[in-house]
Amino acid sequence: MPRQHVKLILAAVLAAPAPAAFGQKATELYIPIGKSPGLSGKVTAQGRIECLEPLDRSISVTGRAQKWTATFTQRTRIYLDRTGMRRSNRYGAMADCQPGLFCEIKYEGTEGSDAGAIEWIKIRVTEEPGSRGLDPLAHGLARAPRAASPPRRAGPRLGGGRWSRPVPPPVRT
Amino acid sequence: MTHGRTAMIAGLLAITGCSTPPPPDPGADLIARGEDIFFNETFRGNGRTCGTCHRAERNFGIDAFFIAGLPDDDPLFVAEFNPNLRENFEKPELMRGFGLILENQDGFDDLENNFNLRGVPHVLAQRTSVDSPSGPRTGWSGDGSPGDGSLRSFSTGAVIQHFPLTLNRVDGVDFRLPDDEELDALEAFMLSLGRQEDLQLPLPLKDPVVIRGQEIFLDDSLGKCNICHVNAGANAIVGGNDLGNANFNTGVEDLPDQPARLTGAFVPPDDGFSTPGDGTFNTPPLVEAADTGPFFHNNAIETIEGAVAFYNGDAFNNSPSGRILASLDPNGVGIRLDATQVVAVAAFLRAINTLENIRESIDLLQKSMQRSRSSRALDLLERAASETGDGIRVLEGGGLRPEAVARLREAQREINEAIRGFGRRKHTELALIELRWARKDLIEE
Repeated sequence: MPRQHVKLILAAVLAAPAPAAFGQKATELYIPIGKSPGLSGKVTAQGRIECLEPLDRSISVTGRAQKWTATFTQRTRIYLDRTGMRRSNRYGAMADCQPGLFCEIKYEGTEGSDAGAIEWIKIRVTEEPGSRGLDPLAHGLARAPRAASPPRRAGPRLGGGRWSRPVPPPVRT
Repeated sequence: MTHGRTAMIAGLLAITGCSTPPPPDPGADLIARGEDIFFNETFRGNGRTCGTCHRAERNFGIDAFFIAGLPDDDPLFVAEFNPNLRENFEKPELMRGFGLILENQDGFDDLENNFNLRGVPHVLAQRTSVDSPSGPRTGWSGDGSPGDGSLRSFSTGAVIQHFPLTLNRVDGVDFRLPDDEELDALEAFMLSLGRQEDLQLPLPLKDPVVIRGQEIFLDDSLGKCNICHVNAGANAIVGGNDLGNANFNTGVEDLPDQPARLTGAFVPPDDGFSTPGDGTFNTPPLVEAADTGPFFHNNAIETIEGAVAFYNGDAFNNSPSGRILASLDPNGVGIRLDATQVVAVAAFLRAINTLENIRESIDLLQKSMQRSRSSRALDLLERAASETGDGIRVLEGGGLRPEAVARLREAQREINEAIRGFGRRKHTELALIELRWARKDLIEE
């Protein structure tokens, strides 16, 4: 095969568009609304949910100066921001997008947008679903990670700011 | 060193005028602020800093041999002494044995089973190894950052993943997230580390084995290395198309007998880029490779010769990347090198790594001479000693260039004298001269 053809074919294969990165973007779950680096205040939209249309898989949100509609896809990630309650954030479901809740939306694509498919949406949760008479099973709060989070303890601190060690370290092998 | 040689070097010092310090870097204050944050800021977390894993004296990475020398109360081992992090935060036996760090690239909803164990990549030459047409590529699989995915945002994800007091990972409780000013400073510091531009191959090298290694490296029908590692960097340019820092599935995950798995420990398969992963990982720069092993995202291979030989094996040649290369080869071969050719390519990588060690050592020594604060100058001298030591080990490990090794040893001795403090400037200048002699033994100038 001519060398130039080889290079062209290889270029075509290698230059195929890459999907949007996720990976360690997994840590986005724990970034509160308004703090996503390089996105919040630049390309995301924030506002209150006006209504959810489950059949259309769409949501209407009222921002400071305008109202917009966004669409859920199979790729959309829904995060429940419970930072205000000093509790661990959780993955959510479309049912968590209740009217009146404050949210931040990142649309798909790298450019700023105010409509279209949602890459991720963060919902600010300020009270437990049960306290509002909602069914926790229908909401993300009931789907906590299988690994139980250990109880949070202040724990004693030493002068250097490091944790005291309650048990000896394991024997090295 | 003989008196005659000392006198000759002293004479050269007077002639070359190498005591004149270079002008200060623009943005130096921001870089200095970033360095301070990198090594000292815990973000009110579990005690770790960026420097806990990215050790300056270990080329801004870490490995099992270095870990073995750390005290048990080092923050690296926080999972062993913070009860809230005992489960599902690290795998201490694999960290101590293989330098592997736990990451949750695919989410935090099943911490028991859904995690990856990866080595700590160095953060040198970031300026030349992150950009791509499809966005920045950070971390082993190119998707290491939350937010906009940039190197600047990388620190935010790192704090969440590696710094928390508990696995609740609540901002303001288990850590605080870096603010914009801190992210700017950390980015500036990381970008300042190591090489600022790619090499231009071929280099006028002197050693015949190294020269042959460079030829094989650059030969698109034999070594084929330069297709994805243009100029031994982290970027691919194919058919005139600049792919930047591209991702490839090279089959590393399919390697048999991976050291961590041989222990019987649960090491889940790592699916690389995106979620679910596509099996690809991004391309690391090779100039810095020889002194930053173990190699690949899972620390599967310990030596640079082994890393080159990987491309001869079934894991690579049956991988998507290997099959593409084979389909384009007139003989249907992906990559096939004989043992002497493997060693030659590795020797080439050792030589360019040492040249980078020398360049970096000279830069650090020159900067140390500009510093008025003794402690700062000392930091730079210690890093220069470490870099020079790396050059010695890299050449010796490949049985290469005894004269250059001798010069590097002499440079290291002078740097250590400078560190002791008496006659610091003189010893630093003598070290600079020895480093330049070592470089002359490796490359035509």
